Amino acid sequence: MNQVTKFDGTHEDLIHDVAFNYYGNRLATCSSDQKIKIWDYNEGEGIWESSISFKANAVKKWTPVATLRDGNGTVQDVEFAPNHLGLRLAIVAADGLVKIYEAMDVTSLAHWTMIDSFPVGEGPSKDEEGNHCLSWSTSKFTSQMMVVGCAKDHVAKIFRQDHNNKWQACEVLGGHGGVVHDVSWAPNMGRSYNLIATACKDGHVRIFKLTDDSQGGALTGGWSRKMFNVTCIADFADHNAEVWRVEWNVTGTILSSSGDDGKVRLWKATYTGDWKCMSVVSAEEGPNGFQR
Amino acid sequence: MSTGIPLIQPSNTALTLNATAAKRSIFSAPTVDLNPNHGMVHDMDRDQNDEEYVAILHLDPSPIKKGVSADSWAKTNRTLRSTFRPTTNEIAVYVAGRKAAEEFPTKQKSSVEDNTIFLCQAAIPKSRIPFIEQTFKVFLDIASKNPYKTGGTSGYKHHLERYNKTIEEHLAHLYVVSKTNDTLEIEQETTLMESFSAVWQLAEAVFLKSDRNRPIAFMFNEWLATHDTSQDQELGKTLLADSSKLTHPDFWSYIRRCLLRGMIESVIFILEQTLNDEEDEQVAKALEDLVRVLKDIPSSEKTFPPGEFHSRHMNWKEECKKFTQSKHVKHLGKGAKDVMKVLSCEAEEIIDVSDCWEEAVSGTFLFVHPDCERENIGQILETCLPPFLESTDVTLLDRIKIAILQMDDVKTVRLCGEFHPWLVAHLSTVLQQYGYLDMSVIDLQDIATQGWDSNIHDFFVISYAQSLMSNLSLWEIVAGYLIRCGHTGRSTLSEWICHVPLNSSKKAHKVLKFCEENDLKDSLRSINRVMAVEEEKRGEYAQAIQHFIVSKDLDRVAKVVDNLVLGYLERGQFDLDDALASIEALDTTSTHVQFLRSYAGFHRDYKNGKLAKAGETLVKLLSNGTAPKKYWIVLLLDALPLLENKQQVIFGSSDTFVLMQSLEELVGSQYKSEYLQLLPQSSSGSTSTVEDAQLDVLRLSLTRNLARSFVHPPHRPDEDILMT
Repeated sequence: MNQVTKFDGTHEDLIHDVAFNYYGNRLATCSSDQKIKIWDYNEGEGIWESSISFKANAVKKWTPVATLRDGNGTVQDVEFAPNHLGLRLAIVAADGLVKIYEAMDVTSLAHWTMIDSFPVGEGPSKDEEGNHCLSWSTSKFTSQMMVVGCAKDHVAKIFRQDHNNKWQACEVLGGHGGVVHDVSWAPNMGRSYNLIATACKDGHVRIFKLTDDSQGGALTGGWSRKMFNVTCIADFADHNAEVWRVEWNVTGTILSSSGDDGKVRLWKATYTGDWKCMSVVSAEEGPNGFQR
Repeated sequence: MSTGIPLIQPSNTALTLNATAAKRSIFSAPTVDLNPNHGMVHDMDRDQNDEEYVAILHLDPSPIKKGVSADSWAKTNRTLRSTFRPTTNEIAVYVAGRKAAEEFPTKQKSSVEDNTIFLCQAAIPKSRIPFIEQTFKVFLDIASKNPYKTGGTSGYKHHLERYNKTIEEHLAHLYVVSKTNDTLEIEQETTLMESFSAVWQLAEAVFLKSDRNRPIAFMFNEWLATHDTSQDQELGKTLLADSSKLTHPDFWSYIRRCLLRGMIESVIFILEQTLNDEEDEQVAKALEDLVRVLKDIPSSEKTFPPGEFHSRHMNWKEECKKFTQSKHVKHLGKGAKDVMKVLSCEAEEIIDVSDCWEEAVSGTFLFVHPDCERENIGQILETCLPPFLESTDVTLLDRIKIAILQMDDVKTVRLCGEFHPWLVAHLSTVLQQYGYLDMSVIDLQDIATQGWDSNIHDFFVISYAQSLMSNLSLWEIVAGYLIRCGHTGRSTLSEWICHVPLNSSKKAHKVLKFCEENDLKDSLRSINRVMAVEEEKRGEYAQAIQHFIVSKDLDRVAKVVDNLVLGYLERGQFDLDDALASIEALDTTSTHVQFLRSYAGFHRDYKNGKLAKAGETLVKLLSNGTAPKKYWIVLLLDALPLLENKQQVIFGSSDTFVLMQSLEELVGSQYKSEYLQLLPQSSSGSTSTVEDAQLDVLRLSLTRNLARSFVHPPHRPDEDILMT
């Protein structure tokens, strides 16, 4: 791992998020200065160039195509559904409700209809750290699923559409010692199992493995049988500080985690299925190299 | 003084071109661990120690300044975050606000570092690209052959040699480049390739069955001379040039190392040169005896009848023993003592005077067990290795070499996997393909138990392919590896290839062709959709329709058709005269395309004066359901000039009925306003008035035509039948 390039985001306040487009040749940054900036990759020169900057309500080249106003609280996470489900997105807000919207006309994107809504816990979360987060399952061969970080409950839950297309919690990912700050469902890539990573306030990064339950028999939340065997296959306390973000690469083979220790860690599985930290990117000064 | 005989034998590319001494790098590849500290263990089987080392990259300029703790930095509402760049496994690292500014009590002044986006990646050096391309070709060749069907396993040598040749060529290139461009990248790359070459050739010498008639002792000496360049050539030259060689402090240590490494000819040459200069008779006699003994050593490379080599070697050992115990030896000086230990042909003595484990193994092979069979290497290692594993650090590269000598195929592959993805992917491919490695014993647990078509070899090849993803110009090679890695490889490729940027039409078609040839249906659909959207933006409607049809986005096909028809309504003509030809060639059941095709045909016929045919098409469009209802009013308006044609009656009575019926269906419907949306709008006056006026014109024209058709029916066979 080496630092390939860098560029000045030119924001007037702290950045809050960075997102790439599908091909990774365009990047958006957003900041507390209330601006969103778009950057395009100049392949010839290998640099990122500013494309456009705009405030949320400014009408320029980028204009809002739709505004969804059904929420009763701060929107805490939003994620588009995988391609095969069509143009859908899920939103989870501080009121503890997940809402799924679908674009009625994919060519205009002007009309979005709420097609589903379900609560993730036992009522709205009022506490300051009541963060909710969600991540869709990208599997094409199962019914729709997502994992949701359930704020004050200190758990993440797997929600799945049942035979009547009703979303129900089918598994609980437990063992967290604090609020789950982020969840990420790994792209499946033909694996016989699913991997989900969580970032927790307790400073741990956890990876859960979900395998189909072939035994059956147990009844859980209205299901005729248990859906998955859930195993926590990795539990890393390396950050030793709040972990805010976990994310998988597009092939679901590398996991990144980042936290208040000022470090980004990259994790990779060995052929024996063990997960190892392969690289650390640090915000602190120091020599590059291999360290214990 | 002449140096006619090479001091290092046998000669090799690396030495000819001044190979670098072993140096280590950490950034050559994603999972490279060439740091000299990495993998150092005192017990080579304590594999869990590997995970204790990770590559650390410190951002420059660092967002957390010296003297500031990460904890206090985080309290200023800052944290570090990253986002994966799709396709390349690059990460964008940035300082992020933990909370929104309005939620944090103290206003923060952001610095340059706070606003910097750092792009970090395990980049592939440019100098390695030709090597990657060449070895991919060899991989393809191996993958395309079934050694169990086409001439057994004899082909392995050809493939191994091709890999060898590619490594050597790349090394030679690097040596040449380093003379003019001695950068850190070239230095690291050279070190990496030297390591590949060493591992590859040792594996070839040890594992391959067809070379078993060559003694492993000889092959190991040959390998050591080629790949361990720690024996200093310059010292040899200095000694040869020295007029009093025996008094040089490094003379006997140089001779000892040469002997341990099997460089007997070099030793004989330098001793003969020393003898020529020696004036002391007793010393000369001792040197003469030493040269004689060395010249008598039976060559392990020559073929002897069974048992004869062993007896010859035993005789030679006796000769050595006599020499080392003779009274002349003391005239050679104290420095020669270690050389005598080597010539004692006792393993303990040889190990005692060896500087590294390779020298100990080489010396033991040569002087103690020159006829050692491969199966017995383990016993020699058991004797030779412990002192070195106890007293010196053993690198991961050392552990790989030792695993090869132990003929532990599984351990070799495992350790190579930790060393570099290229090495393990290709070495395991060759070894598995030709039956030297039974991968089935170490199948991935989860995959194997679920019966997926994938194995540990696929895991390593997929890992290598993923390490290449950082360079998008290598997409075809990445795809080529993944497509040959069973179900997991295909699934990974199917997702990843969709993210490959389609920068140009040529590239897009190349990617599409690859997907078609390899039956990647989901990827095909996704890429076609993306291409169609781009084509639609560029106004290439026919191509867009074609690609939307392949991606099964029929609603988007309808949208493009709508845009075309609406464009026609605005401008009064179609934009796609040429492109229509390709639409007409489309084999599709899309009613929208059929409508567009027929409608364009109607306009063409009308333009060419084929009014009867044009009218016939119009009626068909209305009667057989091809035309969406929202276009009926447009078709009816298009019929007006035909209805009003003074020269001939175009529509017979039944056709006119169809037109009238269609009109009434529109105006009588609860969706009337929607159906009549495409009626030309007037800039003044109320909409309904304009609408009514146009409809009245249409009705009047239809009625008039009906009357005319009774009086002058058009002569068409079907019309005749209908009238009857």
